[in-house]
Amino acid sequence: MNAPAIELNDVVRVFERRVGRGLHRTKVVSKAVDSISLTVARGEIVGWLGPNGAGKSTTIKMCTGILVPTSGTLKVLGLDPVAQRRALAARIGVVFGQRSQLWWDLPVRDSFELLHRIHRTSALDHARQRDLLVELTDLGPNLDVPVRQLSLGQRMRGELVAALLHRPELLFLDEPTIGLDVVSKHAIHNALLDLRNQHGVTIVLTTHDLGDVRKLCDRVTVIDRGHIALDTDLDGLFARAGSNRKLLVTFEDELPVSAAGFACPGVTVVGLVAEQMTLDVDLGITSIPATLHALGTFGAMADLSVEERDIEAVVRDLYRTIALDHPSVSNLHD
Amino acid sequence: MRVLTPSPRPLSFGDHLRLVRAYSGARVRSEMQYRASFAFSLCAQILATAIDLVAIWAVFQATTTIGGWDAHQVLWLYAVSMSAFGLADLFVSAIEEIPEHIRSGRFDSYLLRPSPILSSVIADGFELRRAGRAIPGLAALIAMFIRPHSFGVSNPSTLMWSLVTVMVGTWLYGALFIITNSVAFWLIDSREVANSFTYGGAAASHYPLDILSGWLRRLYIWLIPVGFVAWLPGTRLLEVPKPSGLPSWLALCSPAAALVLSVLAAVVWRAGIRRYESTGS
Repeated sequence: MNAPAIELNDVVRVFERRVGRGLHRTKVVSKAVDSISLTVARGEIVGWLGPNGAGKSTTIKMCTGILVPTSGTLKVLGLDPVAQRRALAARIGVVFGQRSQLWWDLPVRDSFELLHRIHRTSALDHARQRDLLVELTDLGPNLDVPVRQLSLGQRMRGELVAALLHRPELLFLDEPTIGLDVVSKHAIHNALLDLRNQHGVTIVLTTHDLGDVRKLCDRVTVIDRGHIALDTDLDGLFARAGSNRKLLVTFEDELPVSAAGFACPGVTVVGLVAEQMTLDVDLGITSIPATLHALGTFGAMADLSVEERDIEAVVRDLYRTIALDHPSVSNLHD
Repeated sequence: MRVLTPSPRPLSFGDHLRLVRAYSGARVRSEMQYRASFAFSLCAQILATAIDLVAIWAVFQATTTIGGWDAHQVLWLYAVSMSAFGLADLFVSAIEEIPEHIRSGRFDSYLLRPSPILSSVIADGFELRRAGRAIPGLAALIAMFIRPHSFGVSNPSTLMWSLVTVMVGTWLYGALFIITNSVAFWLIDSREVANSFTYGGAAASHYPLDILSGWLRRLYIWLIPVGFVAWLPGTRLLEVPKPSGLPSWLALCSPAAALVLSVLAAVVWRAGIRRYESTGS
């Protein structure tokens, strides 16, 4: 019980692809996951972030026994995912946002019933757990609707219940909120937090939605081109935002186009629309008053606001830094 | 969560049956959501399969024997090979959905469940409409028990051995379905290739293979061994003159052929699973 939820050591996964035609066909080897080592402790909620094709899903698939790693060792709940696939499957839950585990033509209730038989859980236990989860996800009114007639948001909540019916200790979510409306996202966030806080479920999720990260994650691991680019707690991620602020200034008169070329140490213009200007100000180099003073050349100001940079910008910067830090890798890829 | 989930105990035969029943029951309920479609394809399959009988009847209007087999004996071939193929088709051919499962990534879900993959895939794809292919053969088999002489069967023990032959044949075809469709783990567009082996092999096995040229006959004995389903055991059970150039013990080798194919099926299937690459999400 004391083994970490997930333990990866130098895990590599290589895909081989053939390109070209006829005699000119050659084998191209790409490393989707290139020597990743990481640990996830019990009870943690960890976000795996990264651009598309970074290796997040491949890593999840190796952790769940779907893909065989090319090299390295991994243990999930102390088990070898491929060799002990069935034992592991009984103890983990998996939701793939873009793929359904439910039976398309059957009412949601029947899918749950079938999963109960597949997992061979006791009838009483199944009913109790199902009712709890249905309440948690607010799925009650849709239980007798065939899956094909559910909205995406309803279906995702169904997927979540389906993945949790057998009381897994560890839950993997691959883009669980993709394409969801605010209400469904909210329902899923609350359900996940409750599962961790009340039942100690460890959660690993991949997402592009930084709202998920802010609301749920204790820790984020940024994966890029098969490597770990950053592994930090949420505060650490915000600290990366550094001392930058977003400065939004509205002038009384429309700005000349040349205003986009405004140059001042530590300040960059990121947006210019009519009389409104958005700037990125690095407080380590300059200050807000100094910037405003320099902006005085464009006439009187009607309004202004200063914001902390949002997490989106932080991650965008992070991806950009990654590209600069590994030029050789990026060349290989392009 | 609150209770520590124990490692799953190994599946007993009963567990296996319950699993298969749960999966196939759900599939049949899905199927019954489209009743008209179900009824139509069931009838179409019965007709398409029964039409072979008309072909046999037509041939025997022109001749009295095919490759040394008279009309009664060819009817026996039809009953045995059609039943074997029909049953394998009903119970195992859901494996044909493997290429689609792989392409769509749905195969992942089977790997994420604590149950044996092969039986899950097969049971999850169970379709009652496929019974259409088994019904004409089974009807012929029942007719054989009522009027054995019309099928060239002259004593009760031959009748019993005919049943055993059907069971071994079902087993052999089942293994053949698994082997040929496992190719999808390497070649995604392999369904037509698989079909030419399974359905093509089945079409050949309804006729005495004596009529085929040497290399084609060897193909259906040694490579796609459907000759073992009805034709070879039939030569012995019905005392049809043996085809030249083949040892007489070959007629007794059907179970061995089924066994060899099963081992091969297990090997290919396991290699396929390890080779599985999922799809990007």
